[in-house]
Amino acid sequence: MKFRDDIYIWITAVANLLAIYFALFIAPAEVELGELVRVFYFHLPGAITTYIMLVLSAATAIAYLIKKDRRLDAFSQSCAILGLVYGMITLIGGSIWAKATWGVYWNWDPRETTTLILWLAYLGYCFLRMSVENLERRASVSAVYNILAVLTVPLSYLSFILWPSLHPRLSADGEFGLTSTMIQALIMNIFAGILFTGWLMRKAYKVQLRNDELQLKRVEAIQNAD
Amino acid sequence: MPIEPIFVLTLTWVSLIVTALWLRKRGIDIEKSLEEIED
Repeated sequence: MKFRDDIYIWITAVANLLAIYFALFIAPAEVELGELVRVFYFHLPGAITTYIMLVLSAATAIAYLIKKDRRLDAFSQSCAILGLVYGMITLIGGSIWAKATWGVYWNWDPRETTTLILWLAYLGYCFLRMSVENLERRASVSAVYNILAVLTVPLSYLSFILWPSLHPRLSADGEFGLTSTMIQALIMNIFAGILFTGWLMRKAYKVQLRNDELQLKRVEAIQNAD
Repeated sequence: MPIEPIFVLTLTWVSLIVTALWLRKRGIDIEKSLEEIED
């Protein structure tokens, strides 16, 4: 069956509009955070997507090192770029929330700091890829780097367990308890976000594959000219 | 309702739409370059 891009994007748009409506108007205010809890419905899906994309990127980097398939490298890079975009959204969105709840945009909280380290590690990944011209070499070097960089994901995730942190947590003994409507709003936003990420991912992967083809043809053209 | 949820929502969607447009532009540029090389 052929993939229908138009139908997929319409379903994604409807899912996202419903999720946004639910988060802004249906989900109730939280006891301590009040209406500010609504930031959480957009902030957490972004953070989850960042982790998913970066873990997926590292997993395909490992697969590339085993199979040496160019498509795996293209997939890995596409995941890393989207992880970087979602990471930026998470960091900036988080600091807006921090300003509203803690009174400052940035206070070097362990979660903030480790997520910034994660983001910088993947920014380095992108610069590394830009600095190596040979396709095979670029794919291998960046795959090894990626496997090391992904260690920042558990570091960021576990940071508030490892160090004292102000960051809200969703545990039973944590600062916030969610009602069933809040959980519904959260799940809807995570699901809708993943749908859109899937669409973006497909675009990014196709562009990356074509870019690799272009580079191969350029090398061929130079060799033929010689 | 405070303005922060709207800020974060706007930031999220503007970033994602800019990413989608950047991918589209990059795709078009790559296709053009491929055509030029094939010619």
